[in-house]
Amino acid sequence: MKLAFVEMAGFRGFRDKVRFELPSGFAVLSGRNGTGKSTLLDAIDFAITGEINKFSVKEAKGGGLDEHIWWVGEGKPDSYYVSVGFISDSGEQFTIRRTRERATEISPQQIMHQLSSAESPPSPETLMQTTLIRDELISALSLDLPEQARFAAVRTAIGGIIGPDYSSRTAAISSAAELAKNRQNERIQGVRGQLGKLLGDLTEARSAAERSAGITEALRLVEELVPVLPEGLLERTEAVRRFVAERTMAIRDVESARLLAEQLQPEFLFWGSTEGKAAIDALQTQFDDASKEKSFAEDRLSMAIRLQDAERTGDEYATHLSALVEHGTALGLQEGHCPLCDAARSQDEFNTAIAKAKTQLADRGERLAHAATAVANARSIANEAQAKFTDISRRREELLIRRGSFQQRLDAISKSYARFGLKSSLDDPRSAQQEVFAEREKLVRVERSLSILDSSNALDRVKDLESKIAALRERSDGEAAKLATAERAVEAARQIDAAAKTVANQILTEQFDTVMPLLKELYRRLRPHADWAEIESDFGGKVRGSLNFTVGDGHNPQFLFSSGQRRAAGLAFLLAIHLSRPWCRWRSLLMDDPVQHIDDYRSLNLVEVLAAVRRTRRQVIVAVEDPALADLLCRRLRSADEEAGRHFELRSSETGTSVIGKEEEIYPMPRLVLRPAQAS
Amino acid sequence: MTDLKSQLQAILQDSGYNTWLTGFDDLEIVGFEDDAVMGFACVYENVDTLLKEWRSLESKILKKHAPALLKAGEKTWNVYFVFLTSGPATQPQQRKVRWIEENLEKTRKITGCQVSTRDDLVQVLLPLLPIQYQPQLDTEDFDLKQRLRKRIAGIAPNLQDAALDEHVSPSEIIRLLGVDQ
Repeated sequence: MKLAFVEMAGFRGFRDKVRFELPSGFAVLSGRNGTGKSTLLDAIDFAITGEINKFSVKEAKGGGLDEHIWWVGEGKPDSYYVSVGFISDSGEQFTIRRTRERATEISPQQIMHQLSSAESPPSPETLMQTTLIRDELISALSLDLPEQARFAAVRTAIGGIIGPDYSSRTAAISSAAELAKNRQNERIQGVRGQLGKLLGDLTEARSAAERSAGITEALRLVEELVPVLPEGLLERTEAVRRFVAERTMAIRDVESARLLAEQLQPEFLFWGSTEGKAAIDALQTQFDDASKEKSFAEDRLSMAIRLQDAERTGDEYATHLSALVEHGTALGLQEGHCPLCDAARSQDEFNTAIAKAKTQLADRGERLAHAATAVANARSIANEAQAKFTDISRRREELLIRRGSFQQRLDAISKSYARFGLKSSLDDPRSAQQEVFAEREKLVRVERSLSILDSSNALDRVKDLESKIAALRERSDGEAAKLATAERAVEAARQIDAAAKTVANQILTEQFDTVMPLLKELYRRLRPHADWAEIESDFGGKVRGSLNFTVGDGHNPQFLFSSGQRRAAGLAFLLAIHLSRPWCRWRSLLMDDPVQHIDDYRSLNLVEVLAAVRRTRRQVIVAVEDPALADLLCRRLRSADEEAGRHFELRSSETGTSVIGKEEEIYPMPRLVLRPAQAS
Repeated sequence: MTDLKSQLQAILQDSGYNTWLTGFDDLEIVGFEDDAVMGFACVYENVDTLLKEWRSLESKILKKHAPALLKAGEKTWNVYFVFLTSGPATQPQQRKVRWIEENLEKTRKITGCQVSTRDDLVQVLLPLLPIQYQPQLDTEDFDLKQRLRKRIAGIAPNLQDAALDEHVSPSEIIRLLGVDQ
């Protein structure tokens, strides 16, 4: 696979469309600074990687690389794109086109599939880094690299065929082993933690067991004091513990009852004596009397009211009679007849009858007043009887309630005493207190017995703990054995992980040793230094590889050589890498101004090396500023009928855009110039 | 003793050059030419003679072949002269001989002192020769998987396949190492 053409528009310094038809032999690009020589190579870089990989700084004031990839000068290009065409030996074509938006229909994988034969090809960036040798990067990518970075660069460039990188997998295995070991460690720590705690418990249990002397006495006492006991020491201890708790509560309850009984002592005295009964009886008698008295007063009042009512009725008749008398008096005797009853009366009889009637009417008022007075008196007496009755009733009720309340509390106390089993009389709190004291002393003895029984339990606990500790120790030994296995696994995984890296580095070292004769040859051809005509390599580091170069008696050319000599030595390195890529199907060497800072003699050496490279049937694209060097390249890079050469002279146009100023075919040279002549 | 001129011709012919012998004064000169390059090689008895006579020999030969060279067009620029000696040389002499190469007037000069073997000749003639070494890197010796497999077999024999098999999880690998997780 070789480059067939590069076409671009609006890219870097090329505003207008330009197309470079590249012959399969070589192309030399020449021109002054800024005429677009490097741009052709940048375009190839950009098409393949989407970047221009020669700038270490991508962002800067005034816009970064992205802002300067496309034309930024005067005038507007018709379009913005880069198109790079490839052609295989069999004539198959393959084009990568990338627009300003960097859209390309071909993925990096597809690009590498076309340009690489490896199953796992390196990145497009690696491809370009080993294909395009730029002036700016010759030293930076070779001699000036730190030794480990130099090793990594070699690994990336020529290591594409050794197979997949297993280092991440073996690292994962190593991590998994480490994790398993850590987990096992945690398990052991857990077991040891449990063991430590059990050992502490065992010490405590053993101390407690030593205090278990009076156990027989304690058992006897408990059996005597606690009514119901189950079989089994543990069960029995628990029953005693419950008994103590319940009895403590009961004592608290009965003590409350006893205190209440003590407070009720006056009531006991009152209700137990004749005074209480007499008080009740007296109040009952008074109640009965007051009731009768009240009833009698009420009857008297009722009678007085009736009399008064009768008087009031009589008074109504008298009022009518008085009106008649007054009327009769006013009329007078009417012709010997009473005007009221028409009876024949004399005047005297009439007058006497009127006077008598008037006297009778006058008595009636006195009787009415007398009846009202009698009612008032009777009412007063009835009220007094009622008040007295009410008072006595209240006092009687209060006394009855007092007696009821007393009785109620008495019942409660009685029940409490009965529950607890107190035999003392309710009205004898002192005796009850003695009984409670006795019960509490009994409980103290039970509690002490309980403590002794607890101590005896400690013996069982000691046995239990010893058994558990033995089991735990056995488990700890088992876990320790597992840890040993896990540690061996970690070691094996580490060795495998290290092997993945060291074997890869070892293969790379061997590969580089295979490449080294080529590097030495190129070094000899380029002759960076007059005296040190040979270069040696030195690999170091098993896991993190390093690559050093030495010249002469172990001297480091990195620090010994001038910048021009370093560049020449660097070129040998980069060319050796370029020529040693077994995975690469793209047979083009691109060089961007490789002779800066190199004297004429070494430039000539480089041209001869490129001529030798051309003889491997590789395509060489080289950009140089010096026209004489361009001519030299055109003469030495071996144009052939089937692998022609072309020289592009680039210049800037009046509009500021780069253009192809001159395009010249380089024809094959005449053959057998000297021999036929055989001198004259 | 190796005949340097014969060796030289053989090397150049192997590299695609047409060569021939020609006499000049008392010297036997090897002429060579291919599609891009042509030139003459001369083997001197000793370094002193080389240092003394190379320049006049170059001029004389160019003069002799001038008619042909004039017709060669651009190829005329690609004329090489190879000056060799198998004789011993001091460091200063060697430097003086090397300086001849840095003289870029007229033709490209290639020089060599103490050239006695074929390898010496190849080293001297490198500017005219194709690339000599083409590393073979795609051999089975560089198969990482096989090499690593062998290495793992020495560490944990039962893992030589599983350790590199992406279908076997790392935790399964650890289990194969006897770890009960």
